[in-house]
Parts: sequence; structure tokens; C-alpha cells
Amino acid sequence: MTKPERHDNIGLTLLNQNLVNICDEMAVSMMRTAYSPIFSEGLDFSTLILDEHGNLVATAGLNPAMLGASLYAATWIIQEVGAENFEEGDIWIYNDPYRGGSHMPEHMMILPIYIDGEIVAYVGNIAHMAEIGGMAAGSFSATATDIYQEGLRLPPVKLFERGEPVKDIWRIVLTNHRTPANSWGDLHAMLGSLYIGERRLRQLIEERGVPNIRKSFTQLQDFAEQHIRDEIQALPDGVYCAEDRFDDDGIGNTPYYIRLTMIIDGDRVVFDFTGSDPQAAGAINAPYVVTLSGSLNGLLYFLGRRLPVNAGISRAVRVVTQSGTICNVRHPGACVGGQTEYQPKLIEMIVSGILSKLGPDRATAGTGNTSLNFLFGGIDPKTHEYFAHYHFEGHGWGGRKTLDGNSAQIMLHANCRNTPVEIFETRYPWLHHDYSLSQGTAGAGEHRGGLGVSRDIEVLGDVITVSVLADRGERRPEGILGGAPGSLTEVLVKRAGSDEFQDFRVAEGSKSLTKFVNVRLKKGDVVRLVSPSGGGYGDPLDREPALVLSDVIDRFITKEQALEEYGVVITPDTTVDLAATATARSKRK
Amino acid sequence: MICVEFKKAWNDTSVENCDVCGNLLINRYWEFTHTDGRTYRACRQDDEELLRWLDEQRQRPGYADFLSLS
Repeated sequence: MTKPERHDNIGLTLLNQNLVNICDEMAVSMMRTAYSPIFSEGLDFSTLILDEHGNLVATAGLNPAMLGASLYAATWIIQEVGAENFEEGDIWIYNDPYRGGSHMPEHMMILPIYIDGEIVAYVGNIAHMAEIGGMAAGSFSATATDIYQEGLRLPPVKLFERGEPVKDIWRIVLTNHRTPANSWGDLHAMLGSLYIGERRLRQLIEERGVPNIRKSFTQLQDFAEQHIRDEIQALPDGVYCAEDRFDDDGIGNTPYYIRLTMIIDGDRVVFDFTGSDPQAAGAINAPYVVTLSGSLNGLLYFLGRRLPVNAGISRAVRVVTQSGTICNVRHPGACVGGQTEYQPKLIEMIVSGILSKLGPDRATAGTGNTSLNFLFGGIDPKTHEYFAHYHFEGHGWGGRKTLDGNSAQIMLHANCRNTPVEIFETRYPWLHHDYSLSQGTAGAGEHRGGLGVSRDIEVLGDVITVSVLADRGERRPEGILGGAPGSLTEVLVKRAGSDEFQDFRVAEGSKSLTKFVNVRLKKGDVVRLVSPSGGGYGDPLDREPALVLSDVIDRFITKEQALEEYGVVITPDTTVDLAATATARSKRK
Repeated sequence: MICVEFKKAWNDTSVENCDVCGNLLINRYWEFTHTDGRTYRACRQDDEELLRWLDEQRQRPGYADFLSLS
């Protein structure tokens, strides 16, 4: 017989860590066993433990972008399907962005854990499949105008029934993906992760007993709710506004605006998106859970230290959107870019546009804030097999009160990693000519922006099809408190035999600089991806001369920039001329 | 306010959203008539109160003042 357990904060903390460790182990399993680099290198997935109603209890600290789906999707599946229709050994899968998914490449699986015939909990995961069909290889169709061009959409369906594979579903999925062998491997990585989680959670439940586990799950959620309410209560009540925009939607040339009014009211926050633009024709729209994710992640960036991430945190927050807007896409609107381009904008609106004004010490300048999604596919000249890959690029983050912005960092809402050069070149027919931090592009400031990266890659195969979904091609990341803005996204091509790089509007007639699909490149063509650098924080003339010198030595800036942007005179033998610097700065102050 | 239970036919794969917050409606919704005379279908019982509260908030100075940001 299991002993009754007394709950206190220390006990809850230990239990929470135990649950997070299970999620971590699920994640390692997925990383080690997946076929696609987006899993094994990119870590674009989440692992979850959910209570008997599907409410989030614990998650590995991997991909906050999936927070909204982690909080809501399982509860919606359970309500829609009915828990009475689950059986032991079932595994459900779905990717529908209109009913809880973030965008179609991200597939969620859940597995109910039965003890004595009753569901006690679920384990789940969400992972970004590298290829799910649709109009573009890599399933990131920047010019899609409806969901049906974005790939295979699955409502909640059983992938396993009472422990046996539902072969009809498997055959439908594998038939509609361009790289079924990869999908087979990645789906099994997800399954393996679930089985690890199930085994570990069963052990924990056996140790602690079902009543205690149920009670603890509730207490953990209550604790998180109280914790975030206390943090919100400490902020000044008020109404705060923020706005950002997309350059375009890949279909037309007009910008699209996200508009947020945030109301801090005692111990709760309401995010009201009334006034945002109607949903776009292109794929930049966000499903409801993405707007929820961005709202919560923005708040957690500011308040989330030591906070257990579970369903409790969402109780202190309401998100108000209108269906049919860029913030809440309505069927059949395209939406694959909402997760990667819209959500980081929203987080920056909250963190930099609103909350940093409440705590200037935590302020940050504008970040590059595009995932610079780069997709490609074709026939591998070595294996003669079809390949497809989804790559995202790091960029520069904004400077802040105490430090320069991070360089070459994936967007704000994801702890993901980009594709290593070695993977590019061993798995796919590309050759790197250059992969470097972009010299001289960071927004100057007392603390400068982080640097974006520049990558030149040459096509080695006969033909390769590329697509891009990015933003920040027209609006530079802002500097704050006297800092200078960062730099823009650039996506260029140099055709074989030519010496000139051109943007894809000029080279291919695409409507957008940063959004296009299915451009056929040939052997010898070179693509250049340049991600934005971040904005600067504070007056550049207040930057420590030694730091400016260090940037010159590291070739982040030139000697000329040191003088023009920072008023620092660097001598021919690369030291700071302090007297000349003082004179140069005093003239400009 | 009334609670309306609904169950879609197995071959109806459409989805509907809350008129107040945009969240998904599954299996049931709360229906009420707001002061603007419109009938709302809401995902949560407290949405009628939320909408009334938002109406008040939206009258406050600075609410949705996006012009000042540009």
C-alpha cells in the first residue's frame, strides 16, 4: 500500500523536477532516434505530461513556441473525441491548426496512461515534421493562399489502436509526404519518446499512488497560477499598446499590422488584439493558440523566473481575438508562417514595446526576429532519392541594459538550433562558400545589437527547388534609448556564370523580397542568406572604447565605423587613441 | 445566459470560434445577448462579464491608441 503523501512547496518542487526530468528524457530519446535534422539538430519539438483532462502538468524546456498548443490542444482533442472513446494502447495524432495546432508541420501525439482501467494522465509530444506535402518541398509554402496548399491536415485520429498500428492512417500519411522514409523514422522517434514517458510516469505513479499524483498535479497547477498572479500583481495596473507589422504576406505588397492593447488589471492580464488587420491572403496568419503562445511567452520572458510551466499560468491570462484576423485565422486561411514569423513579433511587442517600459533595466532593443525559413528539395545526385529539408537561420538580438545582443541566435520564442554546415553538406547537395557573422551590420549603441549571419551556398545537384518564408526585408530592428537600428533580411541568388547577386524579385519576379516558393536552381547557382542584426541600446558615444576596440579586433566593425558610429579613434597599431577619442566624442555630444 | 450542448456529426469536420475571444467552441457554448443587441456564443461562462468589462476598458484614454506609436 502506498503511503499518503504530504504536499509542501519543497515536495512539489521535487515532484515538478521529477516530471520535467521525464520530459527531458523523452526529448533526448526523440533527438537521438529521429531521422530528420529538424529533430536531431534543430530540436524543434516539445514533450509533455498532461493530467487526466489533458491539462499541461510539465514540459521540457525546449520550444516555447509550442506553449499554446501544449496548453490547449490535448484538452480540445479529449473534448472533441470524448475520453470514453479512448482505450489503453491508443495513440492519437493530429496537426489541425484550426483545432489547437500551431501550424500544420507540427504534429501532436498523445498517449493515455491507464491505471486499473481509468485514465490517470497522458504523455504527449509535439514535433515539427520536415515534410508533409503541399505545394512546396519542406511544406513551408510562403505563397499558399489556403490550408490545402500547406500539406496534409489531420484531425484527431488514432495512429495506434489498442497497441496496434492503424495501417490505413499510416498509409495515408506516408503517401502524402514527399519523404516518407524520413516521416516513418520521425514518427517512430515520437512514438519512442511517448513510450519512454509512459514507462517513467507509470513508475512515478506506482511510487506515489494515484490519489496523490492527481492531487499533486492539481497543486502544481495552482502553485503556478498563484506564482504568476503574484508577479502580475506587482506590475502597475494600466492600459498599454504595441504594434508591429509584416512587410507583406507574399501575395500582395501591402504591410499587415498586428495591434495589441494589453490591460494589466490586478492579478490578471488581458491581451486584446482588436484593431489588428483582417487575415491575409498569404501564409502569415496565426491560429488562436499561436497568439496565446506569443502572449504568454512575452509575459514569461519578463516574469517567468523559477515558474513551473503548466496549465496554471494560463488561468491568469485572457487572450481576445477576432476570428478571421491575422491573429486568429479562419478556415481555409493559410497559416504556416504564423508560428515562425508572427509569434516572435508578438513577443517583441510585449517585451520591448510594453513591459520594458515598466522595467527599463530589462529593456531590449529590436531583434532580427525572423526565422528566415529556408526550404529545399530535389533528387540527390548521389543517392537518386528525393530529399527535402527545413532550415531556419539565427539572427542578431537587440542590445540591452547590461550586455550586447546575442549574435546568430534563433528567434525569441524557440530554443532551436540551426542546421550545421556538416549536415547541409553530408545530407544534401550544397557546398558552403561562406558562413560568417555579418560584419558592420549591428545597430550601434552603448550595448550594440547582436550580429546576424551571412551564408553563401552553392547548388551541387542538377536541380534543387528552394522556398523562403521570412520577414524584416523592409523594416530594420529598432534601436532604443539612442541606439541605432539593426539591419535587414536579404535573400539573394547568383546564377552560375554570373558575378552578380540579385534579390528574387529581380532574378525570379517574386512579389516579395522575403517570401517565395519553388524557385528552381541549377548546378553552380549560389544562394546568399543574410539574417538581420539587432538594434542598439543607448547612445553609441557612451560605449566603452575598449569594447569598440574589441569589436574592431573581432572584425565585427571596421576602424572607420569605430570613428563614425562610436567616435572612437583606433590607431594604425590597433589601440585606442584616448585623447583623440575624447575630442571626437566631445564634438558630437 | 444559456448553455447549449452540441455534438457535430462524425462527418462534419468544421470548427467554430467563440464570438468573444476567438477560442474554439467544442461540444457546448454559452449564449447571451449583449448590450449592443447582438447574440454571442461564448466558450466560457464568464465571457459575458469579460465583454462588459472590455466595453468599459475600451472607453479609457489610451486604449488601442496605435496612432501614437507610429
